[in-house]
Amino acid sequence: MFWQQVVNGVTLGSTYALIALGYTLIFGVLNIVNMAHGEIFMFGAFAGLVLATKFNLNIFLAMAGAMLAGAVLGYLMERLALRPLRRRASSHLAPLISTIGVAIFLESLALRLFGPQAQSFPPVFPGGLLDFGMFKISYVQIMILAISFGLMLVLRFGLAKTRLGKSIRTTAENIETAGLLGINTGKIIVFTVMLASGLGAVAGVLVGLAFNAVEPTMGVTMGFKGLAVLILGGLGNITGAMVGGLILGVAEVFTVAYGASSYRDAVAFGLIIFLLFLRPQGLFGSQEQQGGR
Amino acid sequence: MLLSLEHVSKNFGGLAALSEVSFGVGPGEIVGVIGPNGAGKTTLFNLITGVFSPTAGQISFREQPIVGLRPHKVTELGISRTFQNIRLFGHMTALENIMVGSHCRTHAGLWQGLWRTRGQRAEELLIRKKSEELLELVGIADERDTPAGSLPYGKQRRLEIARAMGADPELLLLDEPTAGMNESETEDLRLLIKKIQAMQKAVVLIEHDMHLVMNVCERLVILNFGRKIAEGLPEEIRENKDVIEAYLGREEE
Amino acid sequence: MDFWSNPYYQQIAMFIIINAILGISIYLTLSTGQLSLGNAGFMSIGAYTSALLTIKAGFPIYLSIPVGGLAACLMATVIGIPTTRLQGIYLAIATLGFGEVVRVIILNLKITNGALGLSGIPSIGVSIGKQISAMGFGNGAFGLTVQQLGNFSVIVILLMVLAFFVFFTMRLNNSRIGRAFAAIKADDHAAEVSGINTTAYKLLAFFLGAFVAGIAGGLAAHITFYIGPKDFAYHRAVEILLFAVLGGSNVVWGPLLGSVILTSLPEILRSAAVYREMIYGALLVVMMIFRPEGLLSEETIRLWKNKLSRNTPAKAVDVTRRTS
Repeated sequence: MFWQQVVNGVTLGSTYALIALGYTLIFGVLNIVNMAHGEIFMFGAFAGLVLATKFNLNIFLAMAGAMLAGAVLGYLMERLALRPLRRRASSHLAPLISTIGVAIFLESLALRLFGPQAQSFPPVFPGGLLDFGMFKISYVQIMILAISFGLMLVLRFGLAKTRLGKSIRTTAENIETAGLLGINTGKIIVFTVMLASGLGAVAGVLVGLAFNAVEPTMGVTMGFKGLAVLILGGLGNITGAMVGGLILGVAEVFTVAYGASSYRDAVAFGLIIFLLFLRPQGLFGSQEQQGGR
Repeated sequence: MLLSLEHVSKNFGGLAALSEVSFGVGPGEIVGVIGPNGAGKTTLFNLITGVFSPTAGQISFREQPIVGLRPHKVTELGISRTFQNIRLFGHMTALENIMVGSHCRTHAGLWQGLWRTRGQRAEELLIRKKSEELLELVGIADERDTPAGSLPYGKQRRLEIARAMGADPELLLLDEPTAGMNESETEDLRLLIKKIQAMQKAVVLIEHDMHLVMNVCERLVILNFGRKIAEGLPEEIRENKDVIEAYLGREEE
Repeated sequence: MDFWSNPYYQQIAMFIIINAILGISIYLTLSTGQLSLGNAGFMSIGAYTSALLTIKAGFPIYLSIPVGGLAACLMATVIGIPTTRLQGIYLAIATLGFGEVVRVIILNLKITNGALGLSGIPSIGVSIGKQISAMGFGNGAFGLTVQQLGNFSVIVILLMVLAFFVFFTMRLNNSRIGRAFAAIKADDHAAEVSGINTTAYKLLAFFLGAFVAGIAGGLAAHITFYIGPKDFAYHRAVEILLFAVLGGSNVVWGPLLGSVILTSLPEILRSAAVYREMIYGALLVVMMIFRPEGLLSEETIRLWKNKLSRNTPAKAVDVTRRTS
């Protein structure tokens, strides 16, 4: 029972981690919280669903298509709702509010396009469970684990080793210095937003598969969880986002397993409110220093 | 001693921004802190005003330890400062900026403000008058109702000093007050510092303009790479070999 | 039918005023530069507290609504002490989370009747109507029925509450505390170093915003007979934010204007109702790009003042140019 819950929790948590990574990447480079990330995630789920049902695409191709759709949405958002704000030095709340606008717009658009009811993916995998003695695991779960951990590994490696990854990290460190070093920071920003949105869209498909339901409101619910993980792990901290996601997944699954199932959606924010009392900078965040120059 | 620092050190990450710095400031004294860029001068101010806590060492004001106090508490005790890159409240008028400065010397709360009680009105009148006097002191009385953000640079510097004076400090910390000023503005500022000194206030001055420092400061503290390398009267410092090597030698003819 | 006696218009007028009060609540928090997305949560606490006190404990409405406001305040202290230490973004997310937690709790409690919500909440209009009948005007007066008279009185009461909060805010702005708020909004580090206890004042602003939101919630509950958890979800928080973003958050008239526009517009543009949320979303983005300070700013107010006092528009323009 215990190990079964851990496995379920880690599976769920890995999708949360993937969502939170999107928030963290954008925060790192642009220093803003993208409140529309949840809705891009939801659109990704619908893109995957449409590709899998209407075009009968293989689930992996559908996922790739969803990733592309997410990246395109990210690009549009950056062009229309973020870049124009950077030209004028406005308050740090402006991009936050602007992305809230994008979120509301996308959610409402999805309601118009796809309707309010939950839809599900066609059965992709054999329904049976693999029995490992201590726990059982379904094929869908294995795929979710493999893809999310795979993507996280690729991302880590890419950021650490590739030229592009180094440019992203430099830009995140200090955008002015990066510009002086000859990095095209404008391009890096667009790329990062697209990458984050693409990852979010894949997470959308995975969550759609996991719960066997895709609906317009999932953006808000899951977006909130990603936000909670973002705070939990510390703003802009990639390891923090991964670990935070797993912690939240496990915590939720245990809450459901041990009685309080209807409080599940409050766990995320209960955790962060609790955490904010103890460690305002997040689990892995470093104490922020404010200079008095 | 009004202010005394004993073996104060500050590390950021592994880097030592200040190590083992000790010196004191007496009542009404003007002390100059000089040193090359990155010597730790602004960090020193940040430590004194409670923006950062020192990694080691003790800071006391009027024989009372002030390490660990929040910045607004330090201001309330009687230490005010200005910033190297001016930080005024841009949308508020010059007068309002100074009135904010006297916040910690006034008491009116929500209730008094809501009903404009007699005490509240008297207090408002008082700080308004005091702030106008400070505008006069720094020589920008005619800009009373101008939003701070649209004042010319030199006047912004003066306004910032007036705001700091609004809190009735016993010790004023000025962080490069003449940065970006021309010669006549610098001269005006020298006169202003003298006026402030005549009001029995102690001043610690971070400054690059050697002419000004040598002219107004009674004592100098020289920092280099976060260490105090010398301290003394201006004429002593002028002849100190270490200082000339580390700093003056490169800057003056 | 006469505009003022039509119950439909009366209802809309009430909603506009309540939204205007909510506009003030977000203005108060924003006046220290903090973005709170928890005002819908505080509103729900006020609404449920007041509704339950009248239904279960028989409290009179005029007492239960202030108690609801205080309950919201109390909650603001609990949530505010850890969060006001935080930067803008943390605060926005933490308050958003707070709203969610409150919603989930309301959904799950027995006393709040879960997802079904509370109905049969005593209405201000009805109880005033009863008073009117008791005074011997059972058949109405001034050509209005008892119900119309009741509604009319509700509007007057709401207007008085709104007027009080506007008065409060304006007095606040011109006081020592208001200056501290403005300084914190402009540069909170410089404010702290100038001797302002920024944490305490941010908490105070948060607190005041919560109180006003709680009062608005209580008023709303006793006007609509019914409240449910859906009334106070995330979208409500965004709507309240939109009042300030559209109208302007630097002057108190901004959120008031915003709430009037955004409450009456959907009624006028009935045919576009399905696109309402989409329009809201696009509006947020467009405002941030083209006029982040909102429709009304300090400059617009100054411009109008000059126009009215001098009747020389050319000069007035000059004055406003300087600050841009």
